Amino acid sequence: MKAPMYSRAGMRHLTEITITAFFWAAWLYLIMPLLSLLLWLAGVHFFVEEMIVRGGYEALLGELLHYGLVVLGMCTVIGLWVSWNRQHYGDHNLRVRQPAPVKPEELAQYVSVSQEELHAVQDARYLRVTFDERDQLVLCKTNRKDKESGPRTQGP
Amino acid sequence: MQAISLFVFFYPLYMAFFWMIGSIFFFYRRERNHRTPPVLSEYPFVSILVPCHNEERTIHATVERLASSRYPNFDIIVIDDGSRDRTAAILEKLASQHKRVRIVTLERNFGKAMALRAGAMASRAEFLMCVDADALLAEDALLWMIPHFLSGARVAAVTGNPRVQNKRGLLARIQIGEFSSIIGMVKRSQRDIGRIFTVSGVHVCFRRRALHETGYWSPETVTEDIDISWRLQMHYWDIRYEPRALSWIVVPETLIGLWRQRLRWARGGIEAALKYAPLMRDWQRRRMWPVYLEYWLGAAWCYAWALTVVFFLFTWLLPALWPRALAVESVLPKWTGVVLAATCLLQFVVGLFLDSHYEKRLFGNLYWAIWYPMVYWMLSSLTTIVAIPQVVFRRRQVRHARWRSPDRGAP
Repeated sequence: MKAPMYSRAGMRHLTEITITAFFWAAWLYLIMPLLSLLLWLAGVHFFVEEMIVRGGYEALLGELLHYGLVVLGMCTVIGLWVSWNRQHYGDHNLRVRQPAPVKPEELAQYVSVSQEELHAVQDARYLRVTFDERDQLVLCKTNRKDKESGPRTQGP
Repeated sequence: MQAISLFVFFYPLYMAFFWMIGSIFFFYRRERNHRTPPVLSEYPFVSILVPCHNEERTIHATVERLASSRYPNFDIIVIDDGSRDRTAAILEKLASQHKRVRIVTLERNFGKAMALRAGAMASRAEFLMCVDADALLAEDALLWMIPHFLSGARVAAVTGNPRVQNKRGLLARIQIGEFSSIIGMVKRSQRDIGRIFTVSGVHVCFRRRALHETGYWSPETVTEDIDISWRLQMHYWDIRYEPRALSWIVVPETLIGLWRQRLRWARGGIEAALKYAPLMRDWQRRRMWPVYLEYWLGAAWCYAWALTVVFFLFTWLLPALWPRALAVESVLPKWTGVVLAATCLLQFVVGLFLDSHYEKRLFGNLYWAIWYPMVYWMLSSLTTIVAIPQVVFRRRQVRHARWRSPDRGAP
């Protein structure tokens, strides 16, 4: 007998939750040294014995100092780079005038069609095109519905 | 071997801090106090280009959403790239309902790059907004994007912030975390550094002048978005990231779909990195150096990670035979593991905090975030490892990069 849809979806969701929980357990395994530290803290005597007397904290302090210095260095480099970037390309940007829009004649030349053909392409609401072997646009036809809908009112 | 092991552990650690610091800089400088789009004195005409190929399931919703955009001056050009399903009939109906909708039909399937080219030629607009056929664009996205072009003469493209639409299933939920904690943070950081690795092809707005000067989209690349991003920036144009311009995208829900997508991305990345390598020596292109260096370090990390895992297995399985010089005793270092695990979680929290301004209840996905480092890094690494030889040893350039719709899993 076929199982109902809701139970299959429920089973799938439950499986996903379970597997994800497994991965969280794996993540917890990664931070096990930290958990151990917290557990040692719970029993202060053992904590002092292991971490202070035997110097268990030294490895952690050494690593944290190392990470801290690198992260600080990165922070400084990023800050300097961003400031330089803003000053050099933002405040002293030589290109301040808006670039001229592409003219129809430029576009017509680019696609190797006449301006009339380009206008026909740009005015059509329904258009059928292809490309030749040189990747040039080839107009197949503009649909009859162009005339029904009339010229576009939007746009430049 | 010790150096490789250190690189494998420390590279993701420091890059995580790099992305966190960069994105927090960005957030405080550019996002925090701006909650409504700027009011413009004039709204330039924009064409929204929607290339589609066999998109009968999604195209209607996409176009309907675009038609309801709050931007006042636009048209929608849907390019049917040789669809064989009911896409053409749906488009015909949409065009009859919305005066802004225009249809360009390609005689056969030419690929996304050529479809975009056809759309660009059919448009009169100076600003071209490209939207994937399965993406739902936010109504105010254009209102956020267009001001960047008007305020920056050097701006060639503005890329938006894609959010995950389909939240069913584990893979989709993992990708929610990825889009927040990785992609969004990387783009924020790169924007402040000055160069962006790639625009999100799913929704990005271009200045036609910049496209025209650089030759529009190339049909000879696997990912036209990565290629055009590099080409524009190599020609001294800027790309900006606008996190408030949202769209809702469909992500792969099956492993095979995700693999295909990531393999394509990896191939696109290596293609661009190799294609533009000779230009990198030019001092004038120094702004691309950080992006370029980060790309190659990331690729090297993938191989280093694979090597470490393989050597660890040999050390474990063949303790007597495996040479000591190549031995990897543990893949989980003690205190480094603690810091790596804590950093990973911190990165997710920062990423979700930044994007929770745009998507409510995002923190509910934190539970699934743990998958990202466990499985996702492996997937990305494997795709990179596979993609690099595929691209390097490819015999000849493929002309038209045909596209296929993403594997969206169950309907």
